[in-house]
Amino acid sequence: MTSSLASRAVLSLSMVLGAWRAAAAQESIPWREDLGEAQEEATKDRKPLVVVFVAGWCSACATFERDTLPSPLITAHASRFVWVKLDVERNISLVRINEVRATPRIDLRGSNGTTWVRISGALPAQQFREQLDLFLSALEGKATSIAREVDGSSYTPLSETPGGFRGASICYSNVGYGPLRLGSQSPFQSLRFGIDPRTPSTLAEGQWEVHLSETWVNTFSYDPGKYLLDYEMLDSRFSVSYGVLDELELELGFENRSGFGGIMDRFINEFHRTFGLTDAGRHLFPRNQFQIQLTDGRGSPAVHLDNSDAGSFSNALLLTMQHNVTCGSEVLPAIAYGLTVRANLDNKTEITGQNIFEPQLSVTASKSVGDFYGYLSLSYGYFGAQHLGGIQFRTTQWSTLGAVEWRFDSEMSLVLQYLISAGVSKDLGPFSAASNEITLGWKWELSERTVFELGLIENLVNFDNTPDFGVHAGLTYRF
Amino acid sequence: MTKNAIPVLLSFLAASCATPAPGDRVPRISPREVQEGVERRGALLVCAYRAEKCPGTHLVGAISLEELEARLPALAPDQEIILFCGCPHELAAAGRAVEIEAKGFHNVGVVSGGLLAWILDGYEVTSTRKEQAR
Repeated sequence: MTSSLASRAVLSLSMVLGAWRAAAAQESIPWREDLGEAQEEATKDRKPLVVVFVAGWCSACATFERDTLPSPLITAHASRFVWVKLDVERNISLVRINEVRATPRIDLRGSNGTTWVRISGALPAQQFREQLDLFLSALEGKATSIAREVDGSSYTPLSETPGGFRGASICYSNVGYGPLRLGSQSPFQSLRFGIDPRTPSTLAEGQWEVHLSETWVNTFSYDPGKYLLDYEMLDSRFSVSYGVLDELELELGFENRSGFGGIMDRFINEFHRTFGLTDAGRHLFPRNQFQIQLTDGRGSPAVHLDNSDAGSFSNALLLTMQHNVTCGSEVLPAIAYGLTVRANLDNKTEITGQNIFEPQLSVTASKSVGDFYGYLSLSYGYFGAQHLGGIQFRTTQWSTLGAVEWRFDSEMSLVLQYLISAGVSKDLGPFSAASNEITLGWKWELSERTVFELGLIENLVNFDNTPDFGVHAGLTYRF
Repeated sequence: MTKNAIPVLLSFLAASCATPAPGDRVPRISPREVQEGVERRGALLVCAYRAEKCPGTHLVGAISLEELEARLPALAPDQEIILFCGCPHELAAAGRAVEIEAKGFHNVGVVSGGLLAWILDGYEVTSTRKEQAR
């Protein structure tokens, strides 16, 4: 029933968007190829000119012609300008006459032929539209400054195979491969599927994406008489996304979490012993055990799980709609928001009061600076009134993700990300405080369609309410 | 475990911040110096693109990437090789230069400003797509 509703919603949304696009795209740009004739027309009709210089060797020009110029944002201005497109490769003298130092180069000229604005590089539709609007305002006397140079090279594909995995996107200038796709692995946050941090998408219109990931963490927390958490968890995720528009993405995901004994216990014990680190009482308990023992805020036993309870403990479906509001500029970041509805299919954690559907909202931004990309994501979810034994959960939850990606190679990035997730339970010592998870990740573009990701998770600040150690691996494929 | 991991992560990040992109250190050579290099020092002028993406317009005297690769085994390590592309910031050419350096050649550069700078400085090009190339 859930999938039926979801598919109907996707279909309805696609139809509405399709109708809107068809209406907006009715006006097309009447291109001229002769500058002299275009100038005569501009003078006669008292219209400004848009002169676009392209070159056959220029992949950025192809992107500009394919993605920017046909956009409804631009074609809406079709009748307000005289439009000229000139291929400098077919007439090399154009390079010298017009001082074309980069392609695509776009001149915005007055009806008398005076060039007021020179844009170098493939601006995305939204930024190009802003330039056209500014120019028209200036011509109408609404703006004081008119003459300017615009360097759009940060939007320009800078390699022979522009963008690769992200190459079809209109947002690749300010969005890299992105942080590792993993939510909180902390003991309480993972009980009820915390919020997945999101970042602006680089999925293009008509593209599909399949993502598969596994995250394996070891948790140990012990306070005599209060709690013992000694287990490992595997978080498995599978999702399919579709780019409805360049700016709009729909994603259907499935998530499973399983608990079991500590297979990594031996390795972690040896690590502590080798470096002389305290182990917070690990040595007091046998290895490879699944033990979760909790008392509530008054000290009464609330949860007691052992090896017999190991196995899959929750499954959920997630439907997400994400909208890239802007791809940003040289100064401003790309900004997106996402709405997620989580449907809990099966939960063996004995949490009471769970809603079938849990809504979540994410707002996120990303910005490139040289070879680095910075990401910030704020998420907020509503879970309703929930209890586990005598432990009361908070009805809402927020999380914040900050991440830095370093594109150290044309096909690889290193990522350092920090996830803070608000505490889930009320009045339960360290488990009521926010969890702090730091992850070091590596992303490798195996091909133009495939990105592999690997991560190491460490705990920080709140040692009791975060996994002690974890590994993450994932694969994303676009077609 | 955390106590040990934090300094490792911080030193890793610090080390990463200090390293420039590989293509940044490739010498940029002005069109005039390129012309002199080709005429006087026997420098090889090479299109940085693979044949299927190579532009129809070429700097006069340039050879294809495939031709260079065929000749590489016979070239001395100090052979001057200069690559050009049509992209901003010479990125494609610089990337290709790094690949050639990795094969043992240490006298590799790129045409500063690429194809358009070459044309603007008044040097000749050949074109298979031209209506007129002058």
